[in-house]
Amino acid sequence: MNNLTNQQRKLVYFGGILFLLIPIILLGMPGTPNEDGTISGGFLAEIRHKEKLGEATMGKVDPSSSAMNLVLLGFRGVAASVQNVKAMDYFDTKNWGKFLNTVDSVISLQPHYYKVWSFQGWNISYNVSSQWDGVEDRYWWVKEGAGFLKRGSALNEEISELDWFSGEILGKKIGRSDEAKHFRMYFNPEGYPNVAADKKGDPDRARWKGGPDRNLNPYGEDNYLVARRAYQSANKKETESEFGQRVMTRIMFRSMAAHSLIGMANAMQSEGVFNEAIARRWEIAHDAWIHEFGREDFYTYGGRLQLDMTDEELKSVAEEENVTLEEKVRQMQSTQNMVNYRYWKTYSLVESLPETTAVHQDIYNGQELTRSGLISPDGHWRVTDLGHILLQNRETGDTAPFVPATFGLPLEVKAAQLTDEGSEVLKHLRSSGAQHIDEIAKALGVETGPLKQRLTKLGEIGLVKEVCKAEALIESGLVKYEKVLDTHADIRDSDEAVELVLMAYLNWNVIVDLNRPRTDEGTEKQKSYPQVRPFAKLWRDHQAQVPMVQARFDRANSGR
Amino acid sequence: MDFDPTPYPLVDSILMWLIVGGAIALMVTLITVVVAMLTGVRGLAPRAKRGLSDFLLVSPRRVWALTMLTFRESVRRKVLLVFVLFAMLFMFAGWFLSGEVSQQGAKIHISFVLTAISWIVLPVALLLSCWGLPEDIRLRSLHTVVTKPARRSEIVLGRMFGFAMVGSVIVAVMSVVGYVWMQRQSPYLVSGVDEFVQDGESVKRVQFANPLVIPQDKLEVKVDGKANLVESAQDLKSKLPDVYRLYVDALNQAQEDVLACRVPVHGALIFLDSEGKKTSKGLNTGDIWEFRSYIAGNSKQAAIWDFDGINQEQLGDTLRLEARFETFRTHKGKIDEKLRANFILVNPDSGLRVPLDSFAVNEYHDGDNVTEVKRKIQYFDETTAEEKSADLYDELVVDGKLRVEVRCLDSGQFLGMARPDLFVRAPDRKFASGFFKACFCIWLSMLVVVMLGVTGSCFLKGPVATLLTLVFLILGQGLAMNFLEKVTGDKWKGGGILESSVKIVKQHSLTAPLEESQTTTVIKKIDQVGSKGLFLLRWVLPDFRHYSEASTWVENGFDVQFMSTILACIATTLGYFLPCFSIGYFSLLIRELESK
Repeated sequence: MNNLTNQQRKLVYFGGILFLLIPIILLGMPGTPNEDGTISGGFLAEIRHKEKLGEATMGKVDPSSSAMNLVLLGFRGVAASVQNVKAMDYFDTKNWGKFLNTVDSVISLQPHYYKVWSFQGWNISYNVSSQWDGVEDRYWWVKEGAGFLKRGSALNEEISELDWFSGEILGKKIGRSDEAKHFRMYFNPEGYPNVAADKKGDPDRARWKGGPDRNLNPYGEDNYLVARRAYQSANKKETESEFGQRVMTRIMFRSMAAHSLIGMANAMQSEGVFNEAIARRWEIAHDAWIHEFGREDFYTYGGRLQLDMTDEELKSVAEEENVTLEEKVRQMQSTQNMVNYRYWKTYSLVESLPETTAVHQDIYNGQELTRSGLISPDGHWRVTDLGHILLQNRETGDTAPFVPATFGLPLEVKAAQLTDEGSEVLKHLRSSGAQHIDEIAKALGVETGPLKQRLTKLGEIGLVKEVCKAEALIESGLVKYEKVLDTHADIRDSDEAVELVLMAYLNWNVIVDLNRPRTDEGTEKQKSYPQVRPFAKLWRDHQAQVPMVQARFDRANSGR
Repeated sequence: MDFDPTPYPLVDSILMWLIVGGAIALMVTLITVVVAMLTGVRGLAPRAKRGLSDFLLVSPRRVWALTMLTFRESVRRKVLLVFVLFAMLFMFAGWFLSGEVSQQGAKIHISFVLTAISWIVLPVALLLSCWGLPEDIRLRSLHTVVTKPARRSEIVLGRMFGFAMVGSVIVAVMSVVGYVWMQRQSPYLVSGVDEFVQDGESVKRVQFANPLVIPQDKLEVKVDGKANLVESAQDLKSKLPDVYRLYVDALNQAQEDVLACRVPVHGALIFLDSEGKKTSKGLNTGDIWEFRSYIAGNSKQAAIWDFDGINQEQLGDTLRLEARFETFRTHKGKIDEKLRANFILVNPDSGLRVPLDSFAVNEYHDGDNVTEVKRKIQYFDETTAEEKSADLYDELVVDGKLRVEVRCLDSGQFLGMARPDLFVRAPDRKFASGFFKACFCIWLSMLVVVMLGVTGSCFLKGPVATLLTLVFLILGQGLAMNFLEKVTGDKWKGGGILESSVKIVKQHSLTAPLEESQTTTVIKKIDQVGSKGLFLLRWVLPDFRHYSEASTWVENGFDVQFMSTILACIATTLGYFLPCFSIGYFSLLIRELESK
C-alpha cells in the first residue's frame, strides 16, 4: 500500500489529468481557418478538414440529425440498420406513412450515406408511386422522391450523383412515364394556358393554390428545364469534387444536361405545340448539344478530345499528343458513338426545320382527330358503340334510353374489334358525302323520331367529319416526312423516325378499318390503302417492331 | 389495417395457461421434493403449510402500507423526473414529424404519442422493479420490513402494486398530455366554408379561405365577398360571433375526420373463383405480402362478406359500408380514372340481389371509400330490365345477417381484399375512446413488466434482473415472437439447430432430408428436445404483440376492439400475475437476505 496522504493522492491525480490533457489538446484542438483556406489547429481538425470529413464540410448541417446522433451515442449504426429493416417491412406491408417516416429517421441517423439517399429516392419515386392507383397520388410520391434527393444533395454537397438522380426523376419520371401528360401539367401549369384550371397545377391545392409545387419548381418552369438545372449542378459537382461520379461512363453522365433540352422539345411536340416556339426549342436543344456538350473536354484512353472538334482542332491536338490525325478522328468517333452524338446532332437540327414541324403537326392532328372521332368528348363512347346503338334502334324501333344500363362505364371496344354494324353505319354515313346532320339523317332514312335525335347528338360531337379529315392529314404528314428524310437519310432508320411512321401507320389502319368494304357474305374484309403509300418499305421492314409500337399506341389511346 | 382481428380464444388460452403453468409447477414441485429428500431437509410439510398460509392470509392493510412505501421510495428516487424527458420529447417532436394533412399525417402523430408513452414508461417500470428489492437488500432497509409482522408474500405484492402505482401515474399523465398535444398539433384540413348566415334581417355569405390547413394557415374570412381581416380566432369571436360559431363547427368536423374513431362490424369472407364456385382465397397477383387476395374484374370472381349483428337500432336507417381495397392493374387502362367496383346486397334465403351504384376505388385513402345504403334502395334489375326498390331491413337483412358481394368491374384489372377490408361502420365514437383504450393497453403492458421485474429481483441482483426482464421484453415483441412462432411451427424448413448445422456444414439443401442413419436419429431426437423447449419458451414469454395491436387500431382510425385486443391484453396480464407472484414469493422466502 502507499503511504501518500489524501491530499498528496489528489495532487498526483491532478498531475495525471494535466499530463493526459496535453495529447488530448494536441490531437483534438478545434481548427481555425487560415486566409488560404487551410485549417490550423489540432491534429484531428486538420485531418478532418483535409479529408473533408467534418459535418459542415459535407454539406448543410441538420440540427435534428445531429441531436439524434448525440443522444444515441455510438449506436447510430445499429439504430439505422434496425430502422432500415423496419422501413422495408413497412414497404412490404404497404404501410406508406410509416415507411416514409422510418426512411426519414434512417437518413437522420446516417445523413451522409449516399446509397440510402439514392436508393430510397428512386424507391419512393418509382416503386411506391406505382403502388398507388390514383394519378394524383402517384405524382405526390414522385415529387416526394425528388424532394428527398434534393434534401440529400443539400446535406452532401460533394456528391454529384444525388443531383443527377434528382434530374432523372424530374426529367424522365415526370416527362416520360405513362402518366407524363398529367404529371407535366401538375408540374408546370403555366405551360398549359388552354387547359382547364382543375386539370393542371399541383394536386395539393390547399398548399399550392393551383400553381406548381414551389419547393421543386420555384420558377414555374417545364420539368425538363428543372431537370436540366439538376443535371448541370451534378456536372459542376462532378468536376469540382474529388469523388467524381459512380453512376455510369462519365461522358454519358455529363450528356444529360444538354439531352434534357431535346427531351423538352420532344415532349412539347408530342403535346401538340407547333408554333414558332417549338422550332426555337429545337434550335436551343441543338445549340446546347453541339456548343455546350460538344465542346466539353474529355480525357479518354487516347488523350484529350471534344465531341465536336473541327478538323483543324483535331489536327492540332493530334500533333500535341503525337498521334496521327486518323487515330484522333477514330477516337473521336468511337467516343461520339457512346452517346450517339452525331445522331442527336442531326436529329435536333432536322426537328428545328419548319417542314419537320409541319410533318408533326399533320400527323398529330390526324391522330387527335381519329381519337376524337373514336371517343366522345366525355371519354366514354366509341364511334362504333354509337353506330351499333343507332342500328339497333333502327331495326327494333325500341325506345330504350340512349345511354345503356352500363352507364358510366367505359365500353372497352378497341378500334381493331369494331362491330360490323358500327363500321357499316359509319361507311354509310361517309359514302353519302353528307356533311350536315340533316343530310345524314335523310341518307339513313330517319328524318324524324328518336333516332334523328340520336343522330343530332352524333353530329354535335362531329364524329363523321373528323375521321375523314384525319385520314388525309396522316397521309399528308407522311408524304412530307418522306421528303424531309430524303435530304437527311442518316436518321431514316433511327428509332424516333421509325416509331413516328409506325404510329402514323397504326392510326391509319384504324381509319381504314372503319371504312373497309365488306364482301357479299359480310365477313371477309380487306384493307384499302392508297395505291402509292409513303414509307411502304419502312413499314414492311420494321414489322418486328409493330407489336411493341402497337402496345404503346393502344396505351396512348386508352389512356385518355 | 395490416392484421385480421379475430376474437381472442379465451378458453383455449386458459387451457394453454393451465397446461404450461401446471407443467412448470409440477416440475418445480418434483425437483423440490427430490432435492429435499436427497439433502435431508426436514419439515417439508410445515414449510408447505407456511407457504399456503402466506398465500391465502395476505393482509390488504399491510399490502397497502407496503405499496405506499414503495411509491414514496420511488418518488424519493426522483423517478418522476422522467416527465422532463417526456416534455422535451414533445417540445421538439414537430421537428421529426411529417406535417402532411391527411389520415397518414395523423397516423404518424398518433403513432408517435403512443410509442413515446410506451417507450418511456416501460424502461422506467423495468428499472424500478428490477432494482427495488436488490437495493433494499443491499442497504438493509428490507430488514426493517421483514422484522415487522409482514409476510414475504405481502412484500412481493407491495412491491408489485407500488411500482404499478408509479407506472400508472406516469401513464395517466402522459396519456392526458399526449391527447391534448395531438389535438393541438395534428395537422388537419378545413375544406372550406361557404355558407349563408342569418344576421338580423339580412343574410350574409360567409367564406373561409378555401381550403385552410390548421394550424399552419392564417385565418382569413370573407363576408359577402369582402375580406374581413381578423387577427385570430379570438378576434373573430368578438367581431363576428355567428361566423365564429361556423368556424368552430368546421374545425371540429375537420378534426374528427382526421382523428377518427371508427367502430367496425366485421364479417366473414369467402371468395368465388372464375367458375363462380366458393373458395377460401382469391388470386395471388404476385404480391409478396399474402395478406390480401384478389378478384379479377368483369368475371365471375367475387368476394362475399357475411355480416352478423346488423340491426337498425344500433346502425340507424342508413347503413355505411366502408372499404379499403387494393388495386392491381394488368394494363394501364384509363390512367386518370380509378378502378371501379360495386356492391350487391344479397338475401340468400329469398335470392333477392340488389346491386348498388358502382364506385371508384380510392386506394390507400382510408375513410374515403364509404358507401351509404339508404333503407329504401332503388335499383335496376338486370334480369327483368326494370327499376325496382327494396327495403334494407325488411327484405335484405335476415335475423341481423347481411350478405354483401363485391365485384370488380374493369376487365383485366384486379381488386385485392382481406377480411377487415370491408366492414359496416357503426356510429363513430369520440377519438378519446380509442386513444385511452390504447393507453390502457400500454398500462397493462407496464404491469407485466413490473411483475416480471419484481419477480426477477426476488432471486437476482439488480443488473441481472434487469437483463432478464429486458430479454423477456425484447423476445415478447413482434419480431422475435413471429420468429419463434415460425421456428416452432409446422412450416419450418431445415430442421432444428443440430440438423441445420449439419446441413450447412455439408452444404445440403435446406429442404432435402438428411440421410437415414443412427446419427440422424440422434440429431433429430436432440432437436426435438430443443424444439419442445422453444415451444415452452414461446408460451412462457409474454406476447407483447397484443399490446401494440391496440395502438395499431387507433393509428388506423379505429376504436380498439374489446374481443380481439383488449381482452387479449387483460388475459395476458392476468395470466402472469399468479406465476410471478408465486415465483417471487418462494424466491424471496429462500433468499439469504444478509448477502448483498
